[in-house]
Amino acid sequence: MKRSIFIVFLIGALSCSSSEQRDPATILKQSWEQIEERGRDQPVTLFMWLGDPLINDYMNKYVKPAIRKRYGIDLRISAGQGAQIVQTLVAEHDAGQSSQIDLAWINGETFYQLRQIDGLLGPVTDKMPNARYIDFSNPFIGTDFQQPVAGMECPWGNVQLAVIYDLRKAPAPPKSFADFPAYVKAHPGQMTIPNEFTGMTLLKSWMIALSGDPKLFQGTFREDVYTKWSGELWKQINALKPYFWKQGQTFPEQLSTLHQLFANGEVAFTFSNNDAEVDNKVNLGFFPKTARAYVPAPGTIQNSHYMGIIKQAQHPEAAMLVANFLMSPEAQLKKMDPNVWGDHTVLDLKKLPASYRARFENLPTRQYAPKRESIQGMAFQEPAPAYMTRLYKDFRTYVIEK
Amino acid sequence: MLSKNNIIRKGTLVLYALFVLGFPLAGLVNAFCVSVGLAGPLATGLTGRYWQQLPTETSLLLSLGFSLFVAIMSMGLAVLIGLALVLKRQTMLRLQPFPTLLYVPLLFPSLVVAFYLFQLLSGSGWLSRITHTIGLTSTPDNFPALIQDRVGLGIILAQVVLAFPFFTLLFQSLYDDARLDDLRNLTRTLGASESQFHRRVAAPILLHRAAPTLVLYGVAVLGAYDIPLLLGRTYPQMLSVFITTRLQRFDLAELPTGYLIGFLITVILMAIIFWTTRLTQRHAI
Repeated sequence: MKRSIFIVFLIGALSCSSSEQRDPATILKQSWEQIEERGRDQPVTLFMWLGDPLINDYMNKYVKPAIRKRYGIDLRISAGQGAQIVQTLVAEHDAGQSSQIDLAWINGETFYQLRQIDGLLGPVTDKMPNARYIDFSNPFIGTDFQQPVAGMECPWGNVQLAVIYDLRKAPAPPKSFADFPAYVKAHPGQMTIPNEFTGMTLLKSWMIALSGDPKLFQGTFREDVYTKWSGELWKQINALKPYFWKQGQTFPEQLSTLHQLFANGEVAFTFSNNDAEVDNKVNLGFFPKTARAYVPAPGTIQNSHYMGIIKQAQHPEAAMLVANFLMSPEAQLKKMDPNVWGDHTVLDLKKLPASYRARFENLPTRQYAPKRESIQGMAFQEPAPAYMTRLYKDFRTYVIEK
Repeated sequence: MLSKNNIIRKGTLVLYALFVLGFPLAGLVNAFCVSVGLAGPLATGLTGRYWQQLPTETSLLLSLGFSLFVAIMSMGLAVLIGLALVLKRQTMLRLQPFPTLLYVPLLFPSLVVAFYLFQLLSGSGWLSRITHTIGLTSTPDNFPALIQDRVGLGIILAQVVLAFPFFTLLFQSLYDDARLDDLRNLTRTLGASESQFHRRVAAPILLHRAAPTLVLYGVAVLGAYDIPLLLGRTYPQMLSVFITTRLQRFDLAELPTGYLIGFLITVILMAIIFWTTRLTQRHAI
C-alpha cells in the first residue's frame, strides 16, 4: 500500500513539476541580437483558428518552412482561440506551470481578457525590427477594441466586415443599413444573422449605423449609448425576424454553417470579417462565381488582428522571432495575395522600401471583393469589448429566446 | 513483501482509479470552486451570487426539458425498433447480410451521421432538391423543417440511427442468453398468444437485463454535443451545447454560471446513474 501511495505521489510530483519559470522583465531586457541568438532552433507552439484551408496552407506551406530555414524554429500549430486560450492560461497559471502556448492569434475581446489576467508578455513590438513599417498611430491598427495596443500584441492583418451576396439571387442588394428592413421584408428567407463573432460584428456595425454617429461608440463603454441604440436595434431586428431564414426561429451558431447555406443557395447573403474572403472562397470553388462582396453605407467595422506572446511562454524569444517574421514585408506580401489568403496588410506602404511598395501595389487585384480604396472611408472603429459581450448576451435574450 | 506482479497490479489499479475517478472529481471540485468565486480568472472570493441567480435562468430549465424530451424520445424509439426486430424478425436477424448491415451505423462517428442527415434533410439537401426537381416544392423554404426544427426531429433521428442497431444486437444477445425461444414454446404450450408472450414475458426480461446499459446510453444521449450542435436550433439548446456556449462566451464574468450549471448537471447525472443502476440491478432477473 505504501508503495502505491509513493507511486501516486511520484506521478503527482512529476505532473506538477514545471519547466524553468523565467522572469518576463529579464526576457524583455535583451537586445534583438540576444533574442535572435536565444530563439534559434527552438520549438514554438502557436494557437490559432484553423477554420480556413487557405489560411492553414499559408501557415503550413509558407510560414513554417520559412521560419525553419531562417531560424531553425519548429513552428507547431494547434487549434485554439478566444476563451479557450484564456482558460488554458488560467489553468496553467493556477497550476504554477509554464505555458504550453508560446504565441497566439488574438484580437479584441481576447486581447481584453488576456490583459485582464495579465497573460501577455510585453511591450514587445519596440524590440522587433519589422515594427518600423507599421503606423501605430493608425486607429485601426494601434487601437484594438478601443484599447491601445501599447506594444502588447503584434499587428498581423487588417480586415473589414463585408456583406457577401449572390448576384443571381440578389441582383440589387440593399445599399445601406437603412435599406436593410425594406429589402429583407421584400425578400423573405434570404438573410440570417450568425450567432457568433462575425454576426456580432454585423450587429455592432448595424447599431452604429442606426445611431448615425460613430463617435458615440468611441472610448470606454457607455451604458446610456448602448441601451438606447441596442434597444433600437432589437426593435428593428425583431420586426424583421419573420422575414429571416427559417422565419427567424433559429440562427446559425457558426459562420461556416451560414457559408454552407450560402454555397448551397439556401440563403442569398453571408458575411465575412475579411473583406477579401469572397475572392478566396470563389477561387476555392466553395462559393459560386456570382458571389460578390460590398460594404453597406454608412460603413462597417474595420479592425486588425494580432499575434500575442504569452507571458509564461517556454520559448518567448523564438515566439518573438516568429511574430517579427509574420510582420515582415515578405510574409505580409504573400498573405495579401487574394490567391493565397487576401488578408490586408498592416504595413504602411509609405514606410516600405520602394521595391516592396511596388510589389504590394502590383498584387493581383480582387475580382469579387470591393477595392480597399473604395471602402476605406466607410470604416468604423471597433467599439470597446463590453459592446460585444453585451450584444452577444442580449441578442440571445431579446431576439433568439423571444 | 509484495511481489513484482502485485506492485504492477496495484500500480495499474491506482493509475486507473486516478484517471476514471481522481481527475473527474478534481474537475468537479474545480467547477464548484469557480461557481462560488474561489477559482477562475476573475475570482473575487467566496460568493453565493451565482447560485442565487440560478433560478432566474429560465433558458436552462427549457434546455433541461428539451434534452430530457430528446433523450426519452430517441431512446424510446430505438428500444421499440430493437425489440420489434428481435421479437418479430428472428429469421431476418439471422440471415445475411442483415446482421452485418446492423454493424455499419456503429462504425460511424456521431458527427458523420449528423453531417449525413444535414446533407440529406436540410432545406438545400438532397431530399429538398429532389422534391423541388419533381415539382413538389417551389423553393427550398417550402421543404418541411426536418432539421433545426422546433421539436428536435433531426437530433432524434440521428440518435435513433445510431442507437437502434446497438440495441438490436444487445437484445439479440440477451434473447439467446435467456433462451427466449424455449420460453416462447413453453408459453405457447400453456396457451398464451404470441403477443402475450412478447408483452408479458419477452419484453420485460429483455428490458430488465438491458436496463443498466439503456440508462448509461440515455445519459450519453442527454449529454451529446456534436449532433445537437449541427442539427439543433439556437434555442432551445440541448444541455451540452447550452453549457459549452455559456463557457465560450466573450465575457469572462459568465464563466462561473457556466461552471455552476456544468457542476449541477454532472452531480445530478451521477446520482441518476447510481440510483438507476442499483435499482435495475436489484430487480434484474
